[in-house]
Amino acid sequence: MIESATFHVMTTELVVGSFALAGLCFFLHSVFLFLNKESKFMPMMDTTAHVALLFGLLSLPFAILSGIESSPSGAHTSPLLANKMLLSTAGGGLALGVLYTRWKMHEDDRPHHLHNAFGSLSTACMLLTASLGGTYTRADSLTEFLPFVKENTLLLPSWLSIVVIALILAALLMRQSSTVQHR
Amino acid sequence: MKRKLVLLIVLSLLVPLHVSGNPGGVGNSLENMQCGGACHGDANQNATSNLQLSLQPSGTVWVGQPAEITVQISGLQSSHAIDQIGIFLLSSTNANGDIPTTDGWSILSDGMGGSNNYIEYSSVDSGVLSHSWILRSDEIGEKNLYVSVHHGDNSGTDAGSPFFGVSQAFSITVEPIPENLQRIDPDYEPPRSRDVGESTNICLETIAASNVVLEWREPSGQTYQLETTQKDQCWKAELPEALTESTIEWRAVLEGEGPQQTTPWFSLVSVKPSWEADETALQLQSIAHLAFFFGLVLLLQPSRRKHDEFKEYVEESI
Repeated sequence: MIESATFHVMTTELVVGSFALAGLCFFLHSVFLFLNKESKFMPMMDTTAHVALLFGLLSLPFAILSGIESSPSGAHTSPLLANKMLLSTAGGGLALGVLYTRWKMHEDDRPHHLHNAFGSLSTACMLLTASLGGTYTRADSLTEFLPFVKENTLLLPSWLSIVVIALILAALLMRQSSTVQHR
Repeated sequence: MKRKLVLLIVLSLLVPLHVSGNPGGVGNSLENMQCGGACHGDANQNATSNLQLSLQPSGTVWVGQPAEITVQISGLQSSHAIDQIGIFLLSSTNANGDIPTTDGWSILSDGMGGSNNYIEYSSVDSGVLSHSWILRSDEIGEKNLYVSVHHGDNSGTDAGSPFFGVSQAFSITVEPIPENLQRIDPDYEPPRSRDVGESTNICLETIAASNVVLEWREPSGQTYQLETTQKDQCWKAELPEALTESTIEWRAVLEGEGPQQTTPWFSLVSVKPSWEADETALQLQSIAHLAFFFGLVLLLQPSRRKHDEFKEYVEESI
């Protein structure tokens, strides 16, 4: 039987690898867009970014769940673990949004800078999450210059989180209904 | 463009990276010997430690009773210039299944507020380092224990390399306990840590003991005695609170039909109250983050339909 900590390392490496590839492709796609060059690499970058993002996103729930399971006292007992959890769900939300909008795009349409920026931001969230994991297990990582993410967590009260969820759902529903009316 | 891309990839692969294994340590934990050899690192990078390692129990090891196992590491300043060191107590050197708990031992105390077989010293001041674990064996017979270390070195030809060393096998004989000898209940678990400012109520369960006296000592070594009161099989006493982060030690002296029995010194670490958030609030905020950032991406993306209709209108007007 694989221990949850081992399983967490495996799934985390899948997530980090996939998101890193996706982030690189989003960045290069934006570079090509910025140069305004028609290149055969552009659709390649676009496809690779989204497929890698999808693969990373599919691995993400396993990484989060095994991470919670392998922590002896739970994510709520350390600001670093709490930040890891919040960053990974933020990155997951961004990735989900990016994939959904790409799926809904018309065939002749192409992602633009904002879309690529969201994709790259989700990669940044995941890499920062992984780096915090290094700090937690080995007291050493590439993000030593960010002490506040190890010691402080911006925690919302439960009611405010519920309000945020309700507001965002309402906004999405309003946008959806306005689009329907517009038709 | 293609050449530049290939050149960039080749250059990035050629950039020499300084890689060192866990310079901040991995923290006290339950670890197999494999971690000392290759924990998040390549075992081939290891250099051999020249430290001298020894291990011995203090007194007879009775089955079901706590026993103090002291490891001694010498040559710390003469053999290697060391800032910090990790010490393993192992039951084998197979690289897996080496934790003493897999060989019939219970780790009652690691001397640092936990029950781990691997502990770290963040600084080393003298040439000899002694550290004690409190173990309890549930089986009678011969058992082997090993001590292992991993550390760095600030000087010499292998400076910066991870060093690893493992001792020979030290045989420990676990003996059956004489009948009617006063003793601690085999299921008793001593407290290991507490918050600063909290006193600790000890409830020591014993067998065949007619009187129990508790002794505790400060880090400076000054020893105090505490009288106990008996209730059923439990001898009660209260250890005073600590005002700062510190470690005190306590032990019990048991009177009975047999010769006086003294337990090993149990460490009790006082730590600052730990950080804790509301678990439900954190989970709800995680869901809120997921929903918020998902919604943000959707809401900020330009609407294709409006764009198309505007474009059609402009084209028709022209």
